[in-house]
Amino acid sequence: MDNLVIRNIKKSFQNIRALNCINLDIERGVFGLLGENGAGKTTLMRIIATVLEPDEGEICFGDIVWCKHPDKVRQMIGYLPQEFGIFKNITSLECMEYIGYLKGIESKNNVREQAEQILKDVNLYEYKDRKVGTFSGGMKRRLGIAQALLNNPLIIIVDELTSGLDPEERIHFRNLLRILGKDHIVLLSTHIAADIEATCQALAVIRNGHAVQFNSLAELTDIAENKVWIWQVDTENYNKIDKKFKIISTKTLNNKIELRIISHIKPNHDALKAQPTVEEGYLVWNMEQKNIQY
Amino acid sequence: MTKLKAIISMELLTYKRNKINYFILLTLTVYIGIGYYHYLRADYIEAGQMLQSSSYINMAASLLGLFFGVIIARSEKRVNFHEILSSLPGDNIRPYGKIISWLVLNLIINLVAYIEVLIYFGIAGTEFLLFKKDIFIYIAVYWSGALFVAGILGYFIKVVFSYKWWNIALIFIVWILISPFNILFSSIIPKDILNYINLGENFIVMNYDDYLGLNIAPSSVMKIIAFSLLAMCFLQGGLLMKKYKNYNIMERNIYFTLMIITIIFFCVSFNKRYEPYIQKLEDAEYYSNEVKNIYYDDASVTHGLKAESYNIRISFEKLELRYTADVRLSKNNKSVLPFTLYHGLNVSSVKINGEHAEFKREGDWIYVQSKKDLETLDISFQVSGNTGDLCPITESSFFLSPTFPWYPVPGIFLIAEKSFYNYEAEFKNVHLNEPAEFYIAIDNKDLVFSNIEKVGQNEFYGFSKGVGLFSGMLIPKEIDGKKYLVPPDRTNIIKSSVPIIERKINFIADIIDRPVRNIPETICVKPLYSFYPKYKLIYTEDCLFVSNNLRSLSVITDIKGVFRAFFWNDVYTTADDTHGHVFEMMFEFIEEKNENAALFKYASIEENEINKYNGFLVSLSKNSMDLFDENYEGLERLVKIMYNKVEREPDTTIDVWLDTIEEIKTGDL
Repeated sequence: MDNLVIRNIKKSFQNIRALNCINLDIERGVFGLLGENGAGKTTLMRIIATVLEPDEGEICFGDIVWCKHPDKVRQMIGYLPQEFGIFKNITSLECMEYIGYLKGIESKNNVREQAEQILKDVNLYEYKDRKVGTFSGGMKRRLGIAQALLNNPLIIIVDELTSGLDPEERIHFRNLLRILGKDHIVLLSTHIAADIEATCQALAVIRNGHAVQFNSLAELTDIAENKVWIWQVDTENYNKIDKKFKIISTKTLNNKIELRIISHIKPNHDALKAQPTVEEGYLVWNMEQKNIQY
Repeated sequence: MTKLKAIISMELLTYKRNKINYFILLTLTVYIGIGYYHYLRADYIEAGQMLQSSSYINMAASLLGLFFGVIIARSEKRVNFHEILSSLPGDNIRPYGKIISWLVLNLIINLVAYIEVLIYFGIAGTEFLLFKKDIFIYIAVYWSGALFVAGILGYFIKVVFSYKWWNIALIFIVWILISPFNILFSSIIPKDILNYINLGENFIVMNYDDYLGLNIAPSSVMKIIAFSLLAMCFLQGGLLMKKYKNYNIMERNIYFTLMIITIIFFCVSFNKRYEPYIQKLEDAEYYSNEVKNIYYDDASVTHGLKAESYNIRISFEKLELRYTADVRLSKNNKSVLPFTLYHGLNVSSVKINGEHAEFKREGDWIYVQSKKDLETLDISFQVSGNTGDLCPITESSFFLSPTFPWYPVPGIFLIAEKSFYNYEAEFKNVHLNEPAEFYIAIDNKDLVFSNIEKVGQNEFYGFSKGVGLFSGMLIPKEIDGKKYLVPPDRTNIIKSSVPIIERKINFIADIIDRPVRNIPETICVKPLYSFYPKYKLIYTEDCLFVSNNLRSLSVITDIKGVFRAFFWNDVYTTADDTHGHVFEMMFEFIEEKNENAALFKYASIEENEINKYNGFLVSLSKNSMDLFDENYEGLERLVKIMYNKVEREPDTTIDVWLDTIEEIKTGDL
């Protein structure tokens, strides 16, 4: 399977540069785009989904070039935007069939068959004849991913998949993306590092319109190697430490609090070195980019 | 195609499930009901007026359409569905899918409105139901057509202008611009353009013309098609402007080509725009100025010429008549053959026995050079032009009176005169002295009627002193041995007027001691574009014409109209029309015997109010008052004497009236 190659993509909105020379080479599997809110993730996703046109640069998948063959691109992608809605007075099956036809599935039986199967995969089959207006946020999100999977797209673009989902649904979708990643290129944009950690094989971190690609999660976590510490402290000392160190998480244990701290030096002789997570790797990378002392 | 079909199906599905649409249909039903309440429930049925006065529906449809267009444009965005659809194939054809669905919705609304109108008409029992096709076209053009075009314009506004408040302001401006009230912009936009871009009736306060029928001329239909295409052209232009790069070169070329074709079609349509017939008053000016200077010999109007036969092949182009008339004249020895033909009709060539002949045109008269001693005289005229206010030609109707020289009539006749008592031309009854054989073929899709026999599709044959052709919203009927050609719902009133007219004919004939005129076999309604109608009725031997604007029995059977039709304009006369005017006043006074009669009013005018226009009439009226007696015998005697005198001597001056009154008073008569 060809790689999705993004070259020198630039995009501005009026005088604000949203993307500044993005270069990515994405292989099959789940690829994460991690970044703060407003970093440019959604802009990049929309460009890949052909909703926006870049000012400069190009995107290729094998012989297919985005700016030259937008219709071909549209036939091979499945896109779930950050904000997804649909006409309230149609049923989920009608919605799926509509999008199926637009994606180029010709036969009525084929559309129906695919739509029903995907609705089963996302646990919506029993609601197929219910109007979308009666769906909860999670059900709408499931319908959103379902429509993106129609016609078996080569590239699946998911913007903020787990926003608005309850923990159970989040786990369900993470699993679904992992499965999809075996045969597709899945682009997952999120600001939640745990989603990346749970689903992606590689990722890019976007900040201020720039992207840095990490071909494995380890590449990012390695940045935080020897900089993450676990330290159990008394409750009364917590406030003093909070002001002094970058605390990532806390866990209450009987009379003590267990802290995870980012620090380039060992914060205390009681502190223990911890195995960094993707989130911690990202935080360290981010602080280094911003020249924040830790 | 599958994608387009899917888009259309989805749009229709959302329409179907949107309760607002049902509310709109309900509102429309109630709205149409207002028309029913005003025009169909009263004593008289005015079905045509109900439709023509439905500009309130047209305007509501336009406003609704504009807002609907905006809603259609943002339906996906409103529910955050637009982003997914933008990433799917077929995004460029979505506007067309939406337009087609909008068209389907409009057709459904059109059908509902049509059925409702038919039901109302059915309940009212109007004969308008015989013109179902016209009703459907009218509703399609003025109601759902306006709704459709406004919808696309609303869509265009939303595509091009994204700021909400601007959109609302623009919607209202566009609404006024495409409505009958666009006259508000007359100071900045030429009137012709305003009339054209108005999707409703151009003259909303105009009375319905039931001879002409509904304003559904081909140009009106063409206009709404041109407008729809232009609105789509705007929309496509807006979409191209916004998403230029989304379209490949081929698509762009196709759209640009279609836009150019649309603009050309629009310009053609503008050029062929519908113009309602408005009285031009050109004849009044013409006959008050030019004719006075032209010599005519009233002693021998026919100049010894006799037409034996006419073969006329007619077509209509825009608002003009075009025909070839082959006239066979009886043998004569004249080197100049004079004909009378209304000056608005131009003669492009004349042939005698197949050879080009010299001719000279002087106003209403044509002088054709001929050779003496020809065995046969077959004269062919190529004619085109208009026929003036007496015989108006519109896009959907025409009226060629048998008393009007719309074809060359041998001889020198004065067609009309202009007196200072009337600011309109007063037409005379110009016809052949003896019946000629006529064959007339008309190249026209609409049904044409004539006072001679129909022998084929718009083909007529027969012998007559004058042939008339009529086409309009007429229903042929045969009741009690008489043939009626009348617009819907007018039969009863016209039928009821016949015995009253007969009674008045007897009344007048008795006073002037003349044979009673019989009402002809055929009674036909004719158009009348006149502010001061003298020709309410036109009488010929084979047809009586009643003007379409006469709505009440008393107006149709007004003794003045009966006198003028049956005893004054029944023949060609060169007498001063003031005589006719005085006779009308006299009969009115004798019949009504009350203070409302014009004669009595003139008699009441004070000395200081007398001027050159009413001087004679005031003097006549004051003197006439002396002839009053209980039985009005003196007045009747005056009328009888004067009628005989004017008939015998058409050049009798009006002063003779005063002399005659004196003579009656002194007992000399």
